[in-house]
Amino acid sequence: MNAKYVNPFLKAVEHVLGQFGIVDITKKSLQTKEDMSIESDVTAFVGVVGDIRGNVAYAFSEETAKKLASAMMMGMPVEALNDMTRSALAELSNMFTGNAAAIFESEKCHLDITPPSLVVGEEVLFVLSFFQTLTVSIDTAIGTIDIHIGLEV
Amino acid sequence: MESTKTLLKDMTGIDIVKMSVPTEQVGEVDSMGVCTTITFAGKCKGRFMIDMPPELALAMVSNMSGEKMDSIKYKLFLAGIAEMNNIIAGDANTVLNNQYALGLRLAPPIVFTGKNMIVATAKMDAVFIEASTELGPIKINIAFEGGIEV
Repeated sequence: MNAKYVNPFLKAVEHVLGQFGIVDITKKSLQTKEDMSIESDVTAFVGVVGDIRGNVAYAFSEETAKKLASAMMMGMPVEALNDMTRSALAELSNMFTGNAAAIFESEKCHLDITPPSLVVGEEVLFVLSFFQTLTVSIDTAIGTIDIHIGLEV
Repeated sequence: MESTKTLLKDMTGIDIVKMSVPTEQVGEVDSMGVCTTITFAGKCKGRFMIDMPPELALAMVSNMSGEKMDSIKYKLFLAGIAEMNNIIAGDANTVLNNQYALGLRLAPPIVFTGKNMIVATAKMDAVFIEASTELGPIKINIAFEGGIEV
């Protein structure tokens, strides 16, 4: 997958996390997979349609999810993930992908994003696309976030 | 709903024997174990989701592929469930676009399996229909964000 399709998502995540005071972000690893399968505690995903089509997922551990939700709520402690925090994290994936869509638009690539969803559970296996996927893991002060990008390009 | 009923029978040979009236779904969805969702965007945005227990899902894909499926982690099984949703949502999408000119475009299907799964979606009004087959229940959940501009 061409870097021009990946960088907008990374920039968007960095930008949105920065708005919540999470600034120490480093790229940890980059991995290509034949399909987008994810085994993670908490996974939020958003679809993209338009000039490019696919799904983008943001996966994290429950601990990181709680810290992310706390950062979104001005530092309010989050002891457990409830319906409000889950909805907030779904909205966060919407913000990530919406920001990426704006970057694509500035590069004359039009895309629309679909509503976000978030899945939590036990022994969850996710398959978000059956074409080649790029997974970028980023390290932040609140834990690792895996960004899975599966686009038909 | 017509797409679901007709195509499920055509593809899997499994009949929907009973179907509830559409009911408003507020809040999160508790999954029965195998869930597939397709999101879409156009003049409106939304989600089409099918949820079922593993036994029914395995039987459906076994019937579709002619190969006995015994694990919900098997790639061919996951691909079968995704394709089934793709065909159903694609058919419904064509009907909606032709009748209401919504210009909907579908994102690729997503499949997830697991235990005690909760699916949370922000800001969407949903309806769900609970249906029965001879092999178990199936739930269909349709959600639109911000109403329909027609």
